[in-house]
Amino acid sequence: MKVSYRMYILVMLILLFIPMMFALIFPQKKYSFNENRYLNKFPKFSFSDVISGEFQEKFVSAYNDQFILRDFMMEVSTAVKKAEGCRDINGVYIGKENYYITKVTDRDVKREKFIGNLRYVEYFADRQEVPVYTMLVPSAGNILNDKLPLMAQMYNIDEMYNTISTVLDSSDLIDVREELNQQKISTQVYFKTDHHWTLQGAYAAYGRFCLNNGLRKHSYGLFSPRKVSGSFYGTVYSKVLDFSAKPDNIYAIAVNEEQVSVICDGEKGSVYDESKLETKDKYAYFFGGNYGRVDIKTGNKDKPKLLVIKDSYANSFVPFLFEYYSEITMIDPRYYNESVLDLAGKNNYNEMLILYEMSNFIEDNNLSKLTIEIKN
Amino acid sequence: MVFSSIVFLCGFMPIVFLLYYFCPSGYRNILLLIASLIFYAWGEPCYIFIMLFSTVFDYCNGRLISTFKSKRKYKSAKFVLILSVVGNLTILGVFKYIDLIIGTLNILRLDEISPLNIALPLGISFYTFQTMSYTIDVYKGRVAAQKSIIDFGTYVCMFPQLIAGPIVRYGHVAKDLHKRTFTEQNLALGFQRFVMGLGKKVILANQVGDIWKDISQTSASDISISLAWLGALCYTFQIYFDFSGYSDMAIGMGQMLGFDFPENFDHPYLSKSITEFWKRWHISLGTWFKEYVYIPLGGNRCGIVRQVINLFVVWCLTGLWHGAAWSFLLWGIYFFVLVYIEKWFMLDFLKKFPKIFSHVYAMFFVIIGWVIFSHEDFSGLIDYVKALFGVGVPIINNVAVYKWYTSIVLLIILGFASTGFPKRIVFKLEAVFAAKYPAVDEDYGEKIHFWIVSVYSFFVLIVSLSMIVSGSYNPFLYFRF
Repeated sequence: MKVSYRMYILVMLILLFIPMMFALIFPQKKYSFNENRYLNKFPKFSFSDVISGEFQEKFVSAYNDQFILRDFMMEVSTAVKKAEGCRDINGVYIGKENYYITKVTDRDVKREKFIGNLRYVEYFADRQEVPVYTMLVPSAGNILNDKLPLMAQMYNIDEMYNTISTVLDSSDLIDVREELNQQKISTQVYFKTDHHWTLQGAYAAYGRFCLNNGLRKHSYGLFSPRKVSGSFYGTVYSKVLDFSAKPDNIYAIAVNEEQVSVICDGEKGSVYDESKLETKDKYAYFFGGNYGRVDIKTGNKDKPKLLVIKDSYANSFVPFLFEYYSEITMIDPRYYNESVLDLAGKNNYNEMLILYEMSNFIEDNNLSKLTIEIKN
Repeated sequence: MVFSSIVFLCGFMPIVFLLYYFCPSGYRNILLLIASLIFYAWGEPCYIFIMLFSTVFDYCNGRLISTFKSKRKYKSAKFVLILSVVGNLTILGVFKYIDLIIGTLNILRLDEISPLNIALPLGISFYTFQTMSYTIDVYKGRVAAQKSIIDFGTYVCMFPQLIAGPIVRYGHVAKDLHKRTFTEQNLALGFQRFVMGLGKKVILANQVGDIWKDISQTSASDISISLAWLGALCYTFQIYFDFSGYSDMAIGMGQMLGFDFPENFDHPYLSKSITEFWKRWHISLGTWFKEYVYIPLGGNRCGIVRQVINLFVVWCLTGLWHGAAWSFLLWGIYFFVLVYIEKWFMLDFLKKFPKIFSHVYAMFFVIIGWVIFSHEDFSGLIDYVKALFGVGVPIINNVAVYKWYTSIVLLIILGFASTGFPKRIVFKLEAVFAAKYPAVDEDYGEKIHFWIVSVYSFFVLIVSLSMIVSGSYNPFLYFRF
């Protein structure tokens, strides 16, 4: 019996010592791609930090962050929670058919903030002499309600749309609900593992955009979409790290790169950034990610100029518009710190589009920048 | 430091036990004391002085009482005892209850004082009760005064039971403090017990706690009767698995060190009455109040009126011990009423019905008790109770359906785990193995039993570590007390 006890104790002791040894021997990791953040590092010992408790706090978060097989531990934890019956983990619904859908309930939606952001848009649109369109794309859970767990709660998108019409007066609302609901019957309109829409989703919105603006809509096939990646595990997946997740495909439409020129924050860019397909965040394939300002010359002469104020949803959508415009400028207020009013006033745009995913729009903290006045 | 943290599990604990194992037995108490002080100082570097004061204060009081008694100066001994009790209660009063008193005075408009906002020192409710019981026991002659400040300090500050009990009375460990046997068996079995407690806390209590947290924050328009009951049920399980898990960890580590701590829980949710429930729930606290409040007040020996008053006092104090808010007093009085009714006629009445009826009766009132316990504000409590009994809310709604079917598996596991069945399964497995492979040596059955639990505990530990790493914020429920 004594041998059994000793063996057990030895095994357990080794098990508990392994993480410590690992943290001591191996160099500290800087970055977690799955979490898209820098990891905490072990703090330097200082007596005053110990007294205030700051040292201990930092030490704990560093130990957690630097823990051996951290991602595997997350996977185990998710598997156990799923086995216990849980269907929403870390704010993500474990949906049907390997869909992972961000959970946004009515409680999460801050109504005052939404109205405030709409007012910024209204303020901006009111000062333009050209048409300003607003496209607020429903969240994945609003459209893919059949893929959510049974009776899972999402915020009421229709109520949000009703609110828009009470605040927005100077901007024309492009309502893409119907098109997305149509498109989802035959194809996949949102990624299973990511919070973005797929190319098909963007195409559905493009259809509505054309209908709204009297443009001639092309069939999907005419854009020659091709698969650029079959191993995309997106941000929503990263929150749960589920063993049973399946990767997404990324499609992109054909673009004549020789004809199109792209300037990202003053430097030469491209519509598609192949190198991003090797990284974790493969959606950044479109325009290489988010920049404060992207200027696109589509090579089509004698077409109108378009200004797009947007979040990352626009990145896969905008290429559909190339043939209708000669120049397209994309502004991401999160990274653009100059006056958008100024930009809009000086560049003779013929049309403007405000394109956001709804829950992202509601939570956005940068739309107030739309009201920054023109400098002399 | 909390037990269910990476720093404790993969740092403090293995290091301390390794050192302890190789430490000569004469130095083990001082090692344990230093380790305990580091354990405490990790989370509360400044409050450690309150605990040290409390330790030294009652060490001196114990010595003084014993000296006065040996010189037959009983009045002086009694004076020191009163000094000790008043001192301890003052510490507790200042650090735990002062803001409650200030707040109440302000509400009554007797005075305008701003609250002091003193953070509650960890474990203060537990260690003041332990040191108080020590001086009382020395005065009563139940135990001899401890001569070594190291040994006494080890008793007060010992990290396994420092923060959330069980409340170990000095007499219970006096012998072990002086001399204890440290065996591989205790180390192995104690560790198994520890891991089971860890699993209860991390794999079960934390998960069901998340469901309760979500439900308790549901907006009024989304609440329904079935959702309210689900929430109450989740909280009922959370608090049991949280607290009993903590006690298991403490008792397990005590055993690893060679101490024999008292049991704190005995399947309380199998009770058939509220009286029985309180004999199975937080046993060490119930015993403490009985020994040091109820019996000294006269217990049931001074007539029925005094007995009722004594009971009332004990339950009020029990309530307030759990937290510095009047809702806890209400909670205590709630149980006073129930226990008194049971004493009066209910227990006899229940005997006439099938057992299942008694179980349902007891659990119903236990659950309502936890609902009171979980609400510090009265208006919130009233709203929740209204929802439980369907005042102005629907029977069922979408949120409730979703919550029920996503928590039912966990609830079944919890219900199962709060009975004695899991233990029986191990014995069953043992029998199956024994039948398949005939015995080769004497302790064969014991060995099989040990290895079944060992393999199980290995996986529980891995899963627990995973869940701790995956969620960084992990406070214990009982830290509020």
